[in-house]
Amino acid sequence: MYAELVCRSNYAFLRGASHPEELVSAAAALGLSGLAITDDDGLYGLVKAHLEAKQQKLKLVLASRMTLLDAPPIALYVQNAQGYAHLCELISESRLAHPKGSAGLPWQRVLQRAEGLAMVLLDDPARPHEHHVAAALAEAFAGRAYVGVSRHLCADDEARFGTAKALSRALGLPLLAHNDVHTHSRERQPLQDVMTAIRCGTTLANAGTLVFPNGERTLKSPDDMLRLFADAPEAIGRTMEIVDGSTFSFDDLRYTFSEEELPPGMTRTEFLRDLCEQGLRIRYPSGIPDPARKQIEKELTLITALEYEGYFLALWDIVRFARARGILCQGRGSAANSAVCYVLQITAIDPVRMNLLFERFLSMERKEPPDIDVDFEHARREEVLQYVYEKHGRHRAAMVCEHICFRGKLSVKEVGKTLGLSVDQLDRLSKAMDLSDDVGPYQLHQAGLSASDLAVQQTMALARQLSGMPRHLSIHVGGFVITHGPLVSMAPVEAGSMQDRTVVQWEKDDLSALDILKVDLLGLGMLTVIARSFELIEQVTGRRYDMATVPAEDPFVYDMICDADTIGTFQIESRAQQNMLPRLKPRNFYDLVIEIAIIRPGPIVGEMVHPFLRRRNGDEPVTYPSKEVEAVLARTLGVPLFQEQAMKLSMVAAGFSPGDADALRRALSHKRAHEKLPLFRDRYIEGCLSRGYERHFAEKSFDSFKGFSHYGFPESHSASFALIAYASCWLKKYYPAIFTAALLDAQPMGFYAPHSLVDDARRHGVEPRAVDVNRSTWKCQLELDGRTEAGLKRAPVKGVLPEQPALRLGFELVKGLREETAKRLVAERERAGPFGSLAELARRTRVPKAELTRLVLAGALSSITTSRRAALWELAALGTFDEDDLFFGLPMATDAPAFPPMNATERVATDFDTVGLSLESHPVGLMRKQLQQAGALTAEQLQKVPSGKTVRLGGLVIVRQRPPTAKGFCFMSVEDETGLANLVIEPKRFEQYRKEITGTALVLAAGRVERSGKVVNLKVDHLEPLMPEA
Amino acid sequence: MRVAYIHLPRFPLQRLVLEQPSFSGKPVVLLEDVKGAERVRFVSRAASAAGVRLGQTGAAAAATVPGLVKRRFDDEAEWKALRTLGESLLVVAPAFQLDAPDGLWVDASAAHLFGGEQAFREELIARCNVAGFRVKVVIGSERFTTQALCRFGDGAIVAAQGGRLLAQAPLDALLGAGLGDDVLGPLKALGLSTLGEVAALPIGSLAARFGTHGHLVAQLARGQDDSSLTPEVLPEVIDEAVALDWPAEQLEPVLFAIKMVVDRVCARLQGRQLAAVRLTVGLTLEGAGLTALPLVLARPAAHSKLLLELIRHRLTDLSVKHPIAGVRVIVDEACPDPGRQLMLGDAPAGDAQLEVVLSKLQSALGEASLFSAEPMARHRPEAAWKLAPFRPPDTGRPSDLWGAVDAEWTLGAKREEPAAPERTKERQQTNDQLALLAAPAAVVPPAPAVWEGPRGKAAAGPNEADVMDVIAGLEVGAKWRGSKVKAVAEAVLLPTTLEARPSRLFREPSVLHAELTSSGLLASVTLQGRRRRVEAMEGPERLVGQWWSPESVARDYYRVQLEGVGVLWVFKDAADGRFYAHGIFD
Repeated sequence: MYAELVCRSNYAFLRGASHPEELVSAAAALGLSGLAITDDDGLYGLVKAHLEAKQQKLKLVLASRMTLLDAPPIALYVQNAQGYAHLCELISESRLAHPKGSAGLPWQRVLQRAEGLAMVLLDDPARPHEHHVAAALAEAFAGRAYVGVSRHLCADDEARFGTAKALSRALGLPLLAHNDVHTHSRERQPLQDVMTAIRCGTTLANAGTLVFPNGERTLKSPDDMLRLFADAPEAIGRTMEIVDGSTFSFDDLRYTFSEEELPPGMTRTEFLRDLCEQGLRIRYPSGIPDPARKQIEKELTLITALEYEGYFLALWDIVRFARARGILCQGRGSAANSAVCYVLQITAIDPVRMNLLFERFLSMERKEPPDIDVDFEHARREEVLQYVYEKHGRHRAAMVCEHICFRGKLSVKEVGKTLGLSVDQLDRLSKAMDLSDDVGPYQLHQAGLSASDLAVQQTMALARQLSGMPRHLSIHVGGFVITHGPLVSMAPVEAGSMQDRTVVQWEKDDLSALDILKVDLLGLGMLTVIARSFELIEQVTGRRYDMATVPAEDPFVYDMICDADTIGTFQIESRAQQNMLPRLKPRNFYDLVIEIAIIRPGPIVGEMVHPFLRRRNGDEPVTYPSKEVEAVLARTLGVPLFQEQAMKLSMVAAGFSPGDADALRRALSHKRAHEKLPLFRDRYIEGCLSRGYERHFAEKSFDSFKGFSHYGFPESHSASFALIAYASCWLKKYYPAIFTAALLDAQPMGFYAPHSLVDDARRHGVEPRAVDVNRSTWKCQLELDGRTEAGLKRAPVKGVLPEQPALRLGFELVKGLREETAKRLVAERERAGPFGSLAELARRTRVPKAELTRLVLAGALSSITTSRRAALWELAALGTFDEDDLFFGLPMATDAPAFPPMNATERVATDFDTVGLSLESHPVGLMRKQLQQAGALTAEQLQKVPSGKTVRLGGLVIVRQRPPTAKGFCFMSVEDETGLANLVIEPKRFEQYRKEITGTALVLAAGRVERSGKVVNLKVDHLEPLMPEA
Repeated sequence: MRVAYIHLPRFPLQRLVLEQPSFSGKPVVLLEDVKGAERVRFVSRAASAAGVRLGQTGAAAAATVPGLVKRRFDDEAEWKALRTLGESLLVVAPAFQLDAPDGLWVDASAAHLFGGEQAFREELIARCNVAGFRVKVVIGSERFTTQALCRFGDGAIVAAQGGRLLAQAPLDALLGAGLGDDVLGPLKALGLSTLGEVAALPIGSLAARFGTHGHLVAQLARGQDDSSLTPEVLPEVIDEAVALDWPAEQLEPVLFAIKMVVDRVCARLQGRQLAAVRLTVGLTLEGAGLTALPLVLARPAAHSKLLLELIRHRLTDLSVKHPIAGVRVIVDEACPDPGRQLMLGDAPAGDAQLEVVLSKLQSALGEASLFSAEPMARHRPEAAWKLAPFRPPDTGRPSDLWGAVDAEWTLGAKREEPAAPERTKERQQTNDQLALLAAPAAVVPPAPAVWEGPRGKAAAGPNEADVMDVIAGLEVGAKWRGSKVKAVAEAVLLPTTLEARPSRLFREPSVLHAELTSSGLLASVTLQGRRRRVEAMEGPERLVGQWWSPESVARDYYRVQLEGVGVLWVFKDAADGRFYAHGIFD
């Protein structure tokens, strides 16, 4: 009997080269009696190991290797619940005392928390054990302390064994054999070598003795270990003492959510019910419908049974705080299936009215914690996070971490460096992977690399192995864990990369597996845009809007959406969405819900898109095998587009219970769905047949579910997003100037760069105005001059837009200008009036010369200077910016020489360099003559060309996409001075023009026009870089 | 002061073609690392015509032109080559200053000795052409003016303050004056593109705005440059080398390269008015390091014909088993060359013969071929040490090459010493290279004791006699060398691993004729036809790694007590399952 008790997984970060699950399966396959994963100062991968160990029926001992600041490392093993709490506390203390990525404790600190833990002294070639330290540790862990010893067929094996024996004799501690495991199999040793080289920042050729001399630090069978320790067999058997002594596992972890402050005399359940009653009256002011009340009762019963009241109360409290502060927020995800969330105003979608499936959110069978995500204005989310820390205290609240893994290009880059590839070669490889990780000999050749080069081959092979290995810890975008008791006794906590952030060592799936509740407090840029738009509308018109008062179902807004005029809007602005909009033609809110959900890998792979479109356009009859099925699929014309529909269908057609239906959904979402689905398929088909449905229907409907194994939106989530999408479209339709200003203020976000947004606004009648030192503020502003007050304040009805104010670009767009500087300039302007000259501006504001230069180049001083070059000349004469210089900024008594004026190209280039856009001209517009000579059309002209005609078109590349679901097709959007055009590139053309597609900003394309209704694409036959004529 | 500026367009490429004529007319680029990326620094006409551009990445350039020849740009080598040319011009000019990588100024104040500036200019062009370089030369009074006109304008002889001629020169000409984009950027932002436009601006305005740099720019643009020529400090050691296009197995290409090198050495000697006393000719052998031929001249000489003949004789005596990839000549000792007035009846040809004889004697006595091993942190035993210069405890040996390098020029005119760190670095570098030249290709133990038969050849059967010779040789001979090796072993290995390593490591593992037990271990080994029983076997120590290189290993090492022999270090190779001897424990 042997258990491996010293073993590093890949969560030892660039030391172990195997996943925890791999180690557990290999240990079980080798017949080990137990396993402890001892990653450095952490339990990062242990939840994954725990889940696998349950499957494999292997005893997993919770453990960690501990770095001691003043002694060689030790390994600690949990024996009971108290030991687990002690281990978490020790790890947390060790990690929190150091910056992210490092750890270490004084050895004395371990003595105080020895209870419930077993210990093994590990060897460190650089630092032998000091007798008094080892003796003190042995005493603290009396009866549970061992001297670890390993043999790896290395030259120093016997020397180390001798040292361990001597220590064992001196301390009276037994020897315990281990193999200092770093891989689950010898085949992983090359990757372990690579990881070592990455960790040490060297190449393999120079790694020398930093890498292990052989691959013996791998899991070995009990027989192999017995052979290795034939002279000390007792050291093998002794491993079972620790395994047998361990009586605690993650299954014994009991999590209690933080208790809210309750009104006197009320229980949590009563308080939640009371809040729901209040919410019902707010949500249904004209009377509470029966279905709503029934749904609330059903949900409250379930929430009480699962004891999740505290969770809902905490979320209610957070949302209440945000609303009180005027922070726009809205729940999303499956929470929108919950009527309780709706009446608590956590979400904005009425699940009863929309007939959403509650079981998608919470079910008794599943007993998994609900997942509630709430979006806040991204600019103000920090206020919410700090509120949570303040309310619950840092000892009870921490953020969820994210295990950032090596992926694609990063893997190739890191592995390639260790194998000695030059930076240039790596750059080439990286570019070859620009639009796809699948790089074959052809792509390598295209990139100027040899596919037969051994180093390149090894790089690609090892990079594939490295992909998915954790690299470092990051903070989850918004997940919070809040506990009733001290968090550090329940989970290891460490410092995050951001100041004042603490994170637990587990990611969200791990927490979910341990039934630990988290709340997701996310930031959403579009909510910031909407909130800012509402604020600006109120400033300009005095009219006050919020999400609830945006006029619903405006046909003119849907007209705009049907025309794919959606640049800058939420969720439906991408090239793929714009392509779909004129085909799907959304005319109401639910159409928008479908539109948002349909352009996802799930429906696309499930081949649901085209059947849905055909039925919607009346090209295909809509039939249902029964009334029950019709009730489920009627809204999507008989095509299952949402996971909820798959669940409902399995319930009504195949007789699944709600829990079974949810299990089916989870099987569909599982990464190994292909292994898990056959069981469900048989059950589903049998269930359908037994209920009288035809086999064809049963098979076809189940097969269409397979698309859900890819990413897709739940109906509730799509509905939540549709609300925001509609609001953004309404703002774009009626207040384009305001909406653009808010978008520019919220950059970076969305698909489009500022120049595209401003060009689009201009096409919607907005007058953009350049950055100006006498007019601009940090953010974009609206200028009302020349507009009638009545026109501006006119209510936006029936497609009639109010008069649009001009859009003054803000200083925020000037690259290299700090916010503090801009605010100082504005403050001085407001204090003592506008600036009359550059010298005066410099003297009054003392803006640093470098930033003033950026303002001059950006044309922000055009109103007070004759030309940018003259201003630069004047600026250069200002001298050093000495606060005590009385003469600073006084004009020189010399005439400015006549510098050659900037031509249009120079001005546009300078504008793009400093502001990121030019109000003077589009870069492609400057090349129009050249393009005309080449016979190229404009994007606007392209819209009028009949299908099948071959044309040429030049433009600036805005978007390149090659989605995995597109079967090798590449989609590009190019922009010219008249608008956007879509290019479609077939796989063979993509390979032919890969270099031009991935590496060129301006392209000249030739191809055939493909027209489908209002959708116009150019199917590319030829592509070349568009070079300005000298 | 009058100076001549010599511009050698694409000098590094000219030099490359000169050394490797097969590149003539081919698309060639020289690459350098810029922020980690390999980028084109120089591009030949053919490559340029095919679309390769300066600043392109190496891979992009290669993708543009099939069959593009790519070579690394070696800043230091180019600088040295330019200096060599400058030194050769010291025959006609008292001083020169480098403008690396493709230009230099020479002092033209002695032009009248050549018949005036025009004739002097032609003399410079002719000398450069003889050295194999195409050049442009402008003579003027200001360094910047001559440089800018030579690179960007027309002109041959320019009067003082030739600013008018500079008017059309681009602003980038100022880069040659050491001004960077921080100065030129603001000027370009003002829309200025030529020096004439800059010259049109008032000096005071430029100075007021751009400080000292502004003042300098204004002056240079007007052709006012009062900076003086700073004579280049000459290195102590004259050292020239050429890499062959392809490793040569015939003497002819080697002699071609040697002639080129000797011509340069002699030109430098003549420029300094020195003559060589002792030389070292180094041959880079492909895959076998360097081999050195020391030459002591009977009489100091600076004429290439004589030296070349001497070297040719030395080479004919030499037998090398590897192709020659490069040649190098170092002047170990030189003295002033006062010139020699031939008398009636003198026979210079006879002197050359005398040199040959003396050279042979020198070669017979030879420099000691000593080396030692330096520990390397490597698992693979063969790679766990490297050759290093051998330094015996007593360094007073007269034949020590180090002494030659450190020695003052015996009779040379005292020259200005370069700055200490630079000199030390240069000297150290030369010393290291000399030491490598001095080190023989053989590794421990010495030749008779080397266990012959590398693994590739071992298929023909083990050479048991050699094994016994090794053992005998180790026991009776080369004692000091053995102790040296042991000392290295102590340095490279941790104390705990030392006992597991043999005190003597064979140069190449040698296959053993062995009988195995049923469990696959050694039962006996046959040496010289005699079967020797394995009395004890301990191990294994497993060595599996270096999978990323051609030297990947998969071996199980054992200590094997062989009847009547002692303890051998033996490994079983996982690749072929055979046992090899790799060392012996004392």
